[in-house]
Amino acid sequence: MIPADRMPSRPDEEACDGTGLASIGAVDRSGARRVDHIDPGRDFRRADRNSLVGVVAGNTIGLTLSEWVNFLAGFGAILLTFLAGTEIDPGVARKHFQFSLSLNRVEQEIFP
Amino acid sequence: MTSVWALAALWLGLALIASLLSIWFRISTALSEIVVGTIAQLIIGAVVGAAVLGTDESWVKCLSGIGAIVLTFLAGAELDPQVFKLKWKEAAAVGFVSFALPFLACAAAAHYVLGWPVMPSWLAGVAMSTTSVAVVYAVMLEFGFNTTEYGKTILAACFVTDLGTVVALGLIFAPFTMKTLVFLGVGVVVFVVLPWLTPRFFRLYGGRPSELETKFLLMCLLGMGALATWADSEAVLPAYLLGMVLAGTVGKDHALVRRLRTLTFGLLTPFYFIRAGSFVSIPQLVAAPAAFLFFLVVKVGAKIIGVYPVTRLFGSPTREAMYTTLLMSTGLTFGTISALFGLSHGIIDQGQYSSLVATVIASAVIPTVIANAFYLPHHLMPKPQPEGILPEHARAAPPRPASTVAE
Repeated sequence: MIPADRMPSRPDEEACDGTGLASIGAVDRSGARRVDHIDPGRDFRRADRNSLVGVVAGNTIGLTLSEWVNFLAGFGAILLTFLAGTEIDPGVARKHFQFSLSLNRVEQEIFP
Repeated sequence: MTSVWALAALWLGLALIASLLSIWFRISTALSEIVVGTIAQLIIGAVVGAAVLGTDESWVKCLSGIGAIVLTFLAGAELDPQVFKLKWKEAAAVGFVSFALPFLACAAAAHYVLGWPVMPSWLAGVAMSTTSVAVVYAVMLEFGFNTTEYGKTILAACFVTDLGTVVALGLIFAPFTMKTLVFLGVGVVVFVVLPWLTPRFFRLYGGRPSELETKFLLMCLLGMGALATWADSEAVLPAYLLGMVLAGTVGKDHALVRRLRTLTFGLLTPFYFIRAGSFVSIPQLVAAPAAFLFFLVVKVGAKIIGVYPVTRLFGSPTREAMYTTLLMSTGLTFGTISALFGLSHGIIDQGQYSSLVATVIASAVIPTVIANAFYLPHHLMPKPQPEGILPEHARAAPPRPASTVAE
């Protein structure tokens, strides 16, 4: 359970938590990035490791989410998502648009 | 988070304006950021309110502080051990005289001319004796001097000057304690171990998308910075030393240095320089310009009297010697830190603090503008490369495998 002082104060601040995993997951959902440059498995593993370290550290040494930590986390989410966007190849996106859309719908059904 | 993103967009917008101004007017980006910070604070403060710029927000302070630390580290990493061995006498002599003469002259002037009590006068001397590594490094980088023997010697001299400032501040106002000894002891171990450990660590785990190298360096810099401030020293001091000891390894990894520069100049230092500029209150300066102008004249005068003859003694031509002298007259980080130290410890009052900080920041701008306008040593600038090949200081090296990290 997350202590009260570590809870995001507003719903829109939830984007600041679990930054890496959420953003990289968003990228994978698009299904249209250049997989020859980025290995999804490796990205997930890295994001998983970061999140896992966060879980352990948050519950053992009591890391506090101060204002500047929230800023850096949110900024990281924005930049990471931007970088993910720049990886999208318009040609590949067009080619696999139907597949991406269907993949997204299946995911929405499984994880509403 | 809306207000935070809006404020961050405002700061980076100001940084963008500063960069455009620096291109149009051919001045250093660091200087234009300081000036933009001052003007933005004046205009926004008058129209909306002084708090709108949010200079005291914890994340603005955080970015600004890390900017100063990483910038100082990069300046230290520019030091070529070979050049340092060759030029250490010149760097030490210029650096020492650049500290000692302004320190004594400004302290004496504050006491005997302005009538300040003894301790505030010593503090004024300390604040005025500094040379800004940040400003000098930013200027060196823009003109490509950072890759030359000349630029590396000036950067080493800046370090000697700032070391003098830190020692003087410690001896006069914060006597060395057990904490200082712990800091020095840990520092020695870290500075011996890191040059051995870093290249091996990077070779084993570096060169991956997780940017392990940057995390490792930032951890070392911030860890040593925390230890330094705990010991009542300054975080930028170990950053410079870390840069120096890693100059032969990390400093030669151009791709890594380039990535650190993108982080530093693209995000961190705009906050540092704009924030520094925002501390200057133009209305206060206009209302009471005497102390500000007085200190500025004494500081630059003392630097000229001290540094110019020494550089000439080491064989610098007139133009080059004057350029060195004016760059050594710049002040920013240690000057403002010293003034803030005086204010927070009740050594100086708010008025004295404003005068000192304004002088320190003006000394970051005025000598540099004069130096670049009239004394730029064009003959020392790196020769233009054939088309398609960028000079070293601007080169973005291609992605590199982990095994190519220089040891």
